[in-house]
Amino acid sequence: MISIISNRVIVLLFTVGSFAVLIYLMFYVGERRKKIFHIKRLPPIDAIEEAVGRCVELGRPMHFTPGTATLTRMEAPGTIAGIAILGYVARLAARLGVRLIATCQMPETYPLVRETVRESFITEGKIDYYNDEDVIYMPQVKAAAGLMQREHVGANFLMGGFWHEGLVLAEAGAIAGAINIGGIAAPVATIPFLVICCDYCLMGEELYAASAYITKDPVLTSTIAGQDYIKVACVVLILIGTILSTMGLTQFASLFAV
Amino acid sequence: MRALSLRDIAIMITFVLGFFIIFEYFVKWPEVNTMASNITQACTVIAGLATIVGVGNLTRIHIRNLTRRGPNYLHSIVLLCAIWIPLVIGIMYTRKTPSYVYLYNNVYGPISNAFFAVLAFYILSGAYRAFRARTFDSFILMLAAILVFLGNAPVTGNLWAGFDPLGSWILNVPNTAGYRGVIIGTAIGQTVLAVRVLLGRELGYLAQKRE
Amino acid sequence: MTLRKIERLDPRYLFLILLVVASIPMIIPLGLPMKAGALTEKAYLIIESLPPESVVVIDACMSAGYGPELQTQFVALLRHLLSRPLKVVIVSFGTEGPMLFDMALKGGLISGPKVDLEKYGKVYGVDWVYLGYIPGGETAFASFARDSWMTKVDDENTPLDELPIMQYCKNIDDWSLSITVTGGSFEQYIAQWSAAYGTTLIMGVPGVSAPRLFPYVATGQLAAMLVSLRGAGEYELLIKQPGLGAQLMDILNLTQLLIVLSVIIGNILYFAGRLGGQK
Repeated sequence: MISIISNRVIVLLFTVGSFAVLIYLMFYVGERRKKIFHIKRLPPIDAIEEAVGRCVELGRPMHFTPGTATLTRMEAPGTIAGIAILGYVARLAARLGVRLIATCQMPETYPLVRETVRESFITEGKIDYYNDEDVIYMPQVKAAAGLMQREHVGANFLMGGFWHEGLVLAEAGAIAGAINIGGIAAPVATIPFLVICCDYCLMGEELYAASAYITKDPVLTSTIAGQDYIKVACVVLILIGTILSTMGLTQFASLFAV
Repeated sequence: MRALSLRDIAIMITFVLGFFIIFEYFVKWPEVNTMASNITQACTVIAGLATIVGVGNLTRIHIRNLTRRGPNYLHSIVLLCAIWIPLVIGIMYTRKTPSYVYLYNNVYGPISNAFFAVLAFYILSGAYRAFRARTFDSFILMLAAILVFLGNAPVTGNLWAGFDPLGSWILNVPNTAGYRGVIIGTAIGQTVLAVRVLLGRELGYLAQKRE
Repeated sequence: MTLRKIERLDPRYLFLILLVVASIPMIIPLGLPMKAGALTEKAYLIIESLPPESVVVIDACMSAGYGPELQTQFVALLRHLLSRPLKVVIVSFGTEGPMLFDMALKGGLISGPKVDLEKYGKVYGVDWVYLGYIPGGETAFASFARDSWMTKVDDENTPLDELPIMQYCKNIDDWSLSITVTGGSFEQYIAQWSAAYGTTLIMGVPGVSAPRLFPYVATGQLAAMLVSLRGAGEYELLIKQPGLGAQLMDILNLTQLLIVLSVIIGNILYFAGRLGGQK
């Protein structure tokens, strides 16, 4: 006997509506009309080139880590977004001849990190400069902290999902004299740590918008616009629910109880 | 019509399984619910197998370092022993074996604690270096952090009874409001990224760029 | 010049200061006073008010990395549960849970004194049971809620139908209270247990993760929370069985005050340097 779970009907409607908006924006507005939505300036992304340039001048390597999150939990989208940014950073590193040390703390991200860096060097025609031993699986974050200090890295990129280790990596980078550029969406608890310790930090959905910001791809920017439309819808619902609940009418709010 | 590549097959698997799991969340259909549960468990097992990749990579690099007498090759011996000895003991015997318990309680446990304790030192150096009231926003941040720290330290309740309620108010009201906003924004961002992945517009998980 | 040097102090000096400050209470116990916070007290009252023979499921999901923070919370909660006429079902959804559960029973460096089961007069299989490690993460939480017999055997490979306690615990509808002491997956527990079935949920969490869970406390999805070593120490005082948590509270007090002091001194030096530069 098939039935829809009764207290999830509203969530289902909201999900279907969100998907419909996103699919419309992606396939019609982005792919067919090729409209590029404007994304506000993201200083951390602009700072990436500055950081790479700093490493070129100082003759020091860079360090990148996509975080300590796995690909099987709710922090996975952050890791995927971080790996997308890794591709951009690796292409810059290949183009400008800077050594990039990529460490990953989870075994399932190691093949992705390695392939991303390798593909980036191939894209730039610098495959001879790619060093497999600079992509390291380091289960313990403190090992990466020690590596940064031994190699005197000039820039430290932390883009992905971090728990308390984010603070350790950022501080280790600061102690090594590196410029710290962070990006974290989940877990939300670590955002304050990285904001405090990094020179630049992408927070929350800015991390997911980063690949759209970098590529200016119509499809990707359309999804970011869709993200904002859904957020506006959430704000409207919150306001309606707050006003009605304050007046003592809680039926609207209880519709959304899961 | 061109032949399907491995990439196309991966995208199709992602599409079918992803939407199936989303569909399962909303319906009460025993066969579907059971299948979704089994698929999720299978995915967890597959992800666990990735540990073999990581262990294999570490073993390969450090055996190479050892055979070539590379830098710090003695450290490579320590690392290889640290990986393989507990692994072999754990697989061959149970966790209640005295040798395994000894290794866990006296080697792994204290080292893990020490690694986590390092966080306290970095918090102190981070607080000293970074909590500077350069702007009004950073002043508010610093003030909130100080009040929450004072509220958390149990002894300060005896200096002034207001520290605990003030610290709790900061955590319960502005912190909760801020977290709710960030959680909702992040969740929407995750949804959007998930849609991009499911529809094959985001190929970062395949270590490929979109054409 | 001196002020600038202090402002840009080598972090290793700060590490040394912290090491010294944290070591003082270990040599000279200070016994600084403390009282229980609202959330800890709420957790205590929830357990204290459970009717006799209520089924409580507690998840030992600690890891060695979190050290005494979570381990002391688990030990304090376990002592309280065993001291009351309750049916306690213990399970581990984390890989290190079984090792740390064994350590809790035998005593250890991060655990404090052992949990003396004889003192509580509890019989294994009748009053309490340990079901061992259940892999699978969120899927496992959901499956265990639907079917608490999913392991078929306990940690000693005894079939569950030979354990009288399990007749009272078939699925989450039989649970009066669920407790989890964990360093991660917080929202997943809330989603699969509390939000899905409305069960009362208490969590023991590390300090770094507590701020993100206050929204759930505010909505009632999380009934109460033990936060960090402080929560463990407060709980030990409430149950009048002081252990390692209470012993380490002095260190917690001094280190938190040191961090506050370092923030204040850092800012004084920063503004003094700016004013000096403007002169």
